[in-house]
Amino acid sequence: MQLTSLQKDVLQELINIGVGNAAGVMNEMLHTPLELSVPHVDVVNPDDLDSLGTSCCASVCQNFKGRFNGVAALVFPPESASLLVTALTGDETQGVDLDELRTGTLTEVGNIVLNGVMGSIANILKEHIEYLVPTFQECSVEELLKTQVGEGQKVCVLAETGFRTKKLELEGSVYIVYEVGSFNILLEAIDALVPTS
Amino acid sequence: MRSSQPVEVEEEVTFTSREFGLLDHVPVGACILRPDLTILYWNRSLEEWSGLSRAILLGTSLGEHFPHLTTHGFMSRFQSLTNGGPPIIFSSQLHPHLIPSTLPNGQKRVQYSTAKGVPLSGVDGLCVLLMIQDVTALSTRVQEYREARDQALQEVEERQQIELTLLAQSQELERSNEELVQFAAIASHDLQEPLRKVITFADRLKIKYGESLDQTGQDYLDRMQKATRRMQQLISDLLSYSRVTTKALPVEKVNLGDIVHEVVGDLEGRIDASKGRIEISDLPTIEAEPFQMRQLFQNLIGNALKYCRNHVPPIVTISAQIMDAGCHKASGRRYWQIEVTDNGVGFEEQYADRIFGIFQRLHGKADYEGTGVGLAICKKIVDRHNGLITAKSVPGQGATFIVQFLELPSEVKA
Repeated sequence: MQLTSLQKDVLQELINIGVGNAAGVMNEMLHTPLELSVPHVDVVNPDDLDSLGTSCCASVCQNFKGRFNGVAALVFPPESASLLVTALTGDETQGVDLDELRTGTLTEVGNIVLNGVMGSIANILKEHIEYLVPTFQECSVEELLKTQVGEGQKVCVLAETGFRTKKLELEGSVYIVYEVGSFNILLEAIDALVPTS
Repeated sequence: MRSSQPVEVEEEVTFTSREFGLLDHVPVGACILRPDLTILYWNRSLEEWSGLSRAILLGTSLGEHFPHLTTHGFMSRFQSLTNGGPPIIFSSQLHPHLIPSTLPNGQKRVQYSTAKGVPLSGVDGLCVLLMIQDVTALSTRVQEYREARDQALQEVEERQQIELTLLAQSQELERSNEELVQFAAIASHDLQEPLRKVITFADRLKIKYGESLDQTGQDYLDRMQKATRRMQQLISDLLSYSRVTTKALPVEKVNLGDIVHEVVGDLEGRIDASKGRIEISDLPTIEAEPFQMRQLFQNLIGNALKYCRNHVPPIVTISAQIMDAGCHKASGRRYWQIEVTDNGVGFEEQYADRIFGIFQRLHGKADYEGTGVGLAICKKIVDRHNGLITAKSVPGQGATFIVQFLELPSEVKA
């Protein structure tokens, strides 16, 4: 699906606002200064995401239902996920194992980021969205999208997200996969925000 | 509930307790908060965990009892929830004691909490349904697992370090041995030439000027000649020793019976002279270097003949048996045990290891000839064939030399 540059700018701005809100929440809760940034946002067909590869990733998934259907996911390579948890909690456990405690922490981090992003987008939609409780998964992005997204045409908003603390700088990816109908509603809402010349 | 609460709050509390009463029977903490965080419901688990009864809590603000939950970070997350936002996770690492609670053993209860917006009849906006799981046992198990894993990782690291050190030492030892063998080979080879000259000129001296020397001078010359001949023998033996590795040839199938019969044939003169007897049982075929096997049995049988008792003719037996116990780990092959037994002077058991060292002698040169290299050569040959050589003895009753070699691969039992 082709977006106008204006639509793309607005979408990027919405995600930036959401990520900014998430960073604010994180900094208040974690007492560890954390900067979040969204250097790049793209809109792609999920079928074109072949480059995702089959390597295992750590993901936090947030499904949403109703008239507005889809899934949002924050995805990290496992080593980055573990490093992030270490940086945020000061838990210097050896190795990169994501045990129950660490996956719980990562789920909360994903929850805050995705809530920020989804909240920012929901603000302009004026639609009721029903959310499920976020879940943690370890699988490839390909498998994740296959299991979390049903049949039918989809659109994927892909936002690269940078996480930076004093000692650490790493990148995760936010995927928001919408049904085409839902995404069109979002585009209409975006268009409504921008005054026509 | 406080009597000063507005009537609508009292009604909401009553309604919520009725609607959500089922949550009193679940083993998780559960509470329902109005959008302004007034407590409408507080289940039994939470009463027990927090030590606060509903009578005190219901209709009051959460912040009155748990002020840490009213910081901006928590409030903004609760607010997003009551505005229709996604559920919230409070993980056990970042918020282990959301509703502080102490276990009977004094340990703090570790919690994993989830909050979700729920509509409630008569309330504007969504209420907060907060569900709190007790994950203390899980946390403890994970911590124990981490400690066990860290310890195992540390042990593996230490073991790898030790293996690396051993490998380095082994390589150093191998290199050093190699150098020593090379040195022995070169030194003994180079020593032969000047020694040969000394021997030649000593012989000429004796022939040409021997008559002119007085008794003492002739004695000195004789001693010099004996010493040079002994040195020649030492150098020759040293060369043989170093050649076990430097001139090693590939192994092939060798029938030890044939080898031993050939050796006995070569020693026939000595056997006859000593009126000795050699008894040879069936001996196996093994993979070995024929020349070195000949050297091995030449030394062992030669020693058995040499170290005989006065006026007791030597009797030497050579026998073999397959060992069913103690197979070679990697190949599963069994060992042949070959024994060379004599009825000679024997030796003290405490010297059983020392006799295989180079230049080691248990008897004086005057009693028995030799350089003390023969058994060292035997050991080196056996080592080179991945075998084992040991000895046992009772002084005055003879000695037994035991050699173990691997059976042929084709003989391995299925």
